[in-house]
Amino acid sequence: MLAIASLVLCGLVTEPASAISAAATANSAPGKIPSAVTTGAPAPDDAAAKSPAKKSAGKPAKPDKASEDAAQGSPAPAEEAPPTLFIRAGKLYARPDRVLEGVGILVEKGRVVAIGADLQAPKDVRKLEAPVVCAGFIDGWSSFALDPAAYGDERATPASAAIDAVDPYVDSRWEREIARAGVTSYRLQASAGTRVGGIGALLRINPVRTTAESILLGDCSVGLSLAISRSGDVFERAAETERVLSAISDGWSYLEEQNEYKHELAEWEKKIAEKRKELDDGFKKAKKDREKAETEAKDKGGEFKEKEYKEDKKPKAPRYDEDKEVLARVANGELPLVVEAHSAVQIRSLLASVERFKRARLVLAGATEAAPFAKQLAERRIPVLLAPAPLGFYRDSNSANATLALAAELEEAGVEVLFGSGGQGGLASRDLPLLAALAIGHGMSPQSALAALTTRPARIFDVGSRVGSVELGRDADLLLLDGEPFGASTKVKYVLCGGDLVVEE
Amino acid sequence: MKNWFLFAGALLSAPLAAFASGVPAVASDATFAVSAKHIVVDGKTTVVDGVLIVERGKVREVLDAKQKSKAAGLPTVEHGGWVSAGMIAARSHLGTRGEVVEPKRSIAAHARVVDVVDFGHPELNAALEAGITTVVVAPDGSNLIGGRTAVVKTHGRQVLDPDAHLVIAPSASALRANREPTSFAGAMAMLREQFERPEGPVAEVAAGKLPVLLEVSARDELQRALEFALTHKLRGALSHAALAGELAADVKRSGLAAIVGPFGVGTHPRALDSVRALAAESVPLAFGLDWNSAPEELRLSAVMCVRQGLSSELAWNALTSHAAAVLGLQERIGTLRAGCDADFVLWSGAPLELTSHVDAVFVGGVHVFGGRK
Repeated sequence: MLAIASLVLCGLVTEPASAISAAATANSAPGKIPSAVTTGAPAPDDAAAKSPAKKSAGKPAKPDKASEDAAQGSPAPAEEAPPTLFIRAGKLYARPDRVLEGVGILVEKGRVVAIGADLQAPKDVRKLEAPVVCAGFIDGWSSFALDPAAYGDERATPASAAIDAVDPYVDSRWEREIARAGVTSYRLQASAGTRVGGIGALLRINPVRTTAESILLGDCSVGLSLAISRSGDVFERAAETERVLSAISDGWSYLEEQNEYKHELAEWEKKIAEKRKELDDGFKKAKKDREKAETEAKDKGGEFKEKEYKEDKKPKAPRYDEDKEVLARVANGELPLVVEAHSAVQIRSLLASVERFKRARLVLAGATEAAPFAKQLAERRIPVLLAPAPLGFYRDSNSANATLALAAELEEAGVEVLFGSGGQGGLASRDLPLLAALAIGHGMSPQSALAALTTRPARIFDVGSRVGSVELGRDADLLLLDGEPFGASTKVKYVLCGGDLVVEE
Repeated sequence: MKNWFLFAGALLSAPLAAFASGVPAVASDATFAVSAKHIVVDGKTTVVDGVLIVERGKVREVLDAKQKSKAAGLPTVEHGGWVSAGMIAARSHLGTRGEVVEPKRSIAAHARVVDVVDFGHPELNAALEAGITTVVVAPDGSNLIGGRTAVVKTHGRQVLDPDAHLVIAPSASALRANREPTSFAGAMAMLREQFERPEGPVAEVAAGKLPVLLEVSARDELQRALEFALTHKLRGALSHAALAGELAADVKRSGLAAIVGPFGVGTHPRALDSVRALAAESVPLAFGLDWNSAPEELRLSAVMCVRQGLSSELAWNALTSHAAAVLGLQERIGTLRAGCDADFVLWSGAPLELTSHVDAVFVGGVHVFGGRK
């Protein structure tokens, strides 16, 4: 029996229920080709178990961290499966809006396999205890572990994958620092320093595993940035938005071409089959006719010409274009499109330009001057990714109208807010929980802040079936705390990353 | 005329709880009480369920729950949250519009920042709204001798000290290709020359009357600065020396205080560990702001140090009483002890919780910010 506790948090806000209905639609068509996936509304966690068609990009394995860590007395050597652990939680935030009191959690092979008030620890299993347990935080936008050269690579194209620019030698001590602060996974996106960021990936922070083992989703988004503007002219910048987004038009036409080709090919194959059957059925007559025609041609001294069928001409496949391939996935909503824009001018032109792509799943990032668009963002269900730092994204020219109250203002208008450290690299991810606390100090409800760091980024970037909540079957990315998640005096007792116990204080 | 203004119990459950509207202007000589769940007198003493009595713009006393009856009859501000002294930014460039650097001469000892402070500048107001009631406005470290700092309140054109320190920057940021000094050796030579025949403010420094603000960053710069400070018996504070904690014993020996921060998103743990190391050697600490700093970064810096292991008490003192002591103003600001200026902040929760926000600010016993606008 699960003891469902009354919510302790003030300002109870439930996740938008409207997303649930969209879930059914998205879920009911699992076998369809990507172009048929209906989106527009973000898919909810359970439906977000992405189609298996999604590739998980391979990449070089980390150097042998295990031995390095073993030397430091690390608890979990990499070769082994994560340990079986039993956690007794005084209070469990299963989801931000679902709090359970006094439950046991059993973690096995990196997953949560049982949760219950009456659950007892199996024999010989290590027991951990904590007053508060919640899901590990997700940094919605980070460039931790990103090769510095990729950070500002102006030659990046939509098909450039962040996963290919991961530094496999990233210092595991830094990973530990970030985990110790409560952040257990992050979306790696290169576009912070460049206009086109390419494909983003969701990775787990895990100092005892290789990078290859830490990939949750190799392609979780495509990033573009309007923030790197070199022109000071307002009209020029507005036009830039259109230029950037015309790329998505290209993706859309590419998709149409592809679909047209598929259609034509199917038709052709059908016709060929029909013709073949026709020939098979009338084989004797056809043979006779042909022989006759051949003799006649010989008699007349002419040359025999094989009859040509129009079906002989196979439709030609459109030229493969890896960038358009990616943009097509954006246009049809398979991959979320994350666009960083700060000024009101850019946001306005962005919202206007994206409108024609009915399926595209836009995520507005940065969004310093988004307040005037709150209503529109809420109506169009466009989530906003904020870095609630005192100076916004820390880019001087963009911080003029930055306010820490933006998260609360957007939230109040019904916009879904999620948090990211803003692709600043280094240890920025470590400070994300502090930024969330600041947002709470400026009017956001603690429950929303927790959602902005857990369930929302997980759902929006299609990893909701694995991380962001503490439920059966989810990956064991868990924070064991001695107090409420955003308290300055709250200490992290233990952190589990994919079931590995990586922090013990 | 009891309860002439009331706080609608700014409890955690109502994050933006506000004053009842229409707060009347209060004469600064009025006597009134502030009753709160917690009153942080200083880093050590927090009175639960206490009353702060303000008289003529000063703190008369802080009463605990048992003595509460002594406040009967006084107009009372009821606050459901916390009250603390206003915070102090021990270095900043607020309200100067960038006018803090003499561009042509590297020795600008006679320059005074107090001459360029715009007291109506929105930056000062933003600091006030973040709970900072006193700031040191300083020249930055881009001249060898950058001029004198001023201590000002963020409200009311009050200058507490027009000549608080002389900024001396024997660091790379003071070197230029087009004017002297062009090298470290040259910088030290120029500095020694200034102290051999000291004049004006430098003479005051040499005589131990005027403290210095030593702007240094790298480790070698720090070492040179510390040596120079010992030789010339300088008193004052180090500023910006991010890794000073790695030479904590030397800093301790110099008798200088350290103004640290601001720390923000992504600050290297070494810089935070450095603060802890300085604290372990009981070097007096205070936090400062920079160009392009948001005032919230002052508190954020302290919280980041707490997360890295600095005690909350020390962190809070560095934001308030220790900062006041570094400025020699400990009798006047930085605590809510009897006799201090009634510069205080009404918080929704504990001041070192980032989830707490500023509900209202009083300077010199006058309510200057807060309530729903």
